This record gives sequence, structure tokens and C-alpha cells, in this order.
Amino acid sequence: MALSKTEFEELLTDFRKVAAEPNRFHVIPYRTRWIVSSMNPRYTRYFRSRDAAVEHARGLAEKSQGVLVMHRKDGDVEERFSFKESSAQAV
Amino acid sequence: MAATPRDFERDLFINCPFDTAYLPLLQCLIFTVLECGFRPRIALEGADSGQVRFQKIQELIRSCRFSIHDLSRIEPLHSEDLPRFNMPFELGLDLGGRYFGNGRLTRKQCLILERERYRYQKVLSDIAGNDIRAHEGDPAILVLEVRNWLRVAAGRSLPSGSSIWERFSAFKDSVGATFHLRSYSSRDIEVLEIVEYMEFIRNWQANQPAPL
Repeated sequence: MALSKTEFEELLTDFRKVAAEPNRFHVIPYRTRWIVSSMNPRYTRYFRSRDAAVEHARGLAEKSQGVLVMHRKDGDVEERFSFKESSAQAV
Repeated sequence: MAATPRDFERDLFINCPFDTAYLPLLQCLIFTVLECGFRPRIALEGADSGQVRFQKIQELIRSCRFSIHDLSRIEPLHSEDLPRFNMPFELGLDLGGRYFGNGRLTRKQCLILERERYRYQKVLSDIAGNDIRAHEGDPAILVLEVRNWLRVAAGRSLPSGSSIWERFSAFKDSVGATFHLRSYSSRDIEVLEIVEYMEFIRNWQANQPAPL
């Protein structure tokens, strides 16, 4: 994919909006632990088990009608669930 | 043109494989260097086809106080390939600058990385006394090794490895979600030019200042 200058600028404009979006709660494997994290609002908490981390992050995402983002060991996104509607939807 | 003293202290030369298999590590490496407040310099950054690559490498080595050399491709990626010698060659040039150069070049510092801890000794035993760090092909370990080295080499306060990893994961989510929104596939992210990828990181950092 070779992006034209216009395509790249449009992509960057969307990217800035997505990056500023609040209430995206990440569940991130890190060495022997799991991190629940959000950039906006700034939030970090460590867990010993994946289940405990997911449960906690899901609660935060539900309460704030945000998005739960599950990450793989390499940092890539495995799945996203949006709580912007009444129930979780994969996005 | 010679780098200004400020640029010399801030610029970090990255000498690593450029194949697709290494790309996730390269992207993570660039993110970490930027998060630590340094400016990554890489042979791929220039668009001037008229410049001889060796000349470009010399300029980069001369203008950067810090450098990271990843020797992971001392073994071929596929059985029918041959090993890549560019990385050890550029490491040699960099060390030559430090030991035979003068002035600020004598203050150059480098981190040598490999995938496995002691594998390099079989093919590059001359540097066996150096402290080579292994990332095991794991980007989270790479973040930690690079961050810990820069903390000591530059002698400045830096965000923790876990904090950089947390932010890198969130950054990847923002990139992926944007590409999805625009109906690009996740494979399209892989073919972004390195300078474009850096532009995404800088934009993201502007939105999410690092907790130093």
C-alpha cells in the first residue's frame, strides 16, 4: 500500500480522533502479570491472573460505556468489545 | 552537514534487519526510542535514491552518539537464504568511529542485541567480551533491554519498561482501530513507510504525553 499524501493526511486526522477517545480499557499481558490500563482517563492496575484483569477491565468499560481491548503477548489487539450500546459488541 | 551538539546527544542510530518478520520488533524499537526522548535514525528514512547507502550509513554513525545494533540475522531467515552481513559490518564501523575517531565520537555508546544470548559467539567471537543483550524475539523484552540500557548510557530518568509497554499496546490499538475505520486491513499497517509510522507515533505522543 503506497498512500498518497492526501490519504495519509486523512488517516492521520482520523487517528488523532481515535487516539483522543476516552474510556478504552486495555488488558495487556506483561511478563508474569496482567495490566489493566487506560490512557484517558489515566489508569493502571496490575493483576496476577488474566481472569481477574478481564473482569476488572470489563467492569470499568461497562460503567463508562467505553471499549474493552484485549491484547496478545506481542501487544497486538486480539479483540475489542464496545459497551457504548447496552451490551457488549465485538468491534 | 555536521550534527549540532544537541542533535548528536539526542540522535540514535538503529542498525537492524528490515525484513517483514522483524517489522514488529522494529516498530516497537522505534516507539521505545521515541518514548525515551531520543530521535531514531535509520538508513530507510532518507528518500534520496542518489545517495550511496554506505555514505548514508557513515553520516548516520557520525551524527549519532547512541546506536543500537541487532545481530538477529546472523542466521538466515529461510534455509535457502544466506546470513546478512550488513548488521555486523555497520556495528564494526560504529565501534571504529568510537575507538579511532576523535572529539565527540569517543563518547559514542552502543547496545548490541541478539535473539539468543550466546549465539553470536559462534560467528563473531571478537566481541565475546562485550555485554550482548538478548530479546528472544519478544517485543516486551526488547522494550526493557533498550530502556534499561538508555537509562544507564544517557544517565537520565526514563519511564519504566512496563509503562512503555502499556503505552505501546494502547498506541497499537489506536493505529489498528483507525485502519479498521478506514477499511484498511491490518496488513496495510505493515507496509507503512517507517517515516509514516514515526509520524503516527509522534501524533499519538502529542495526545498522550509520557509520564516522566
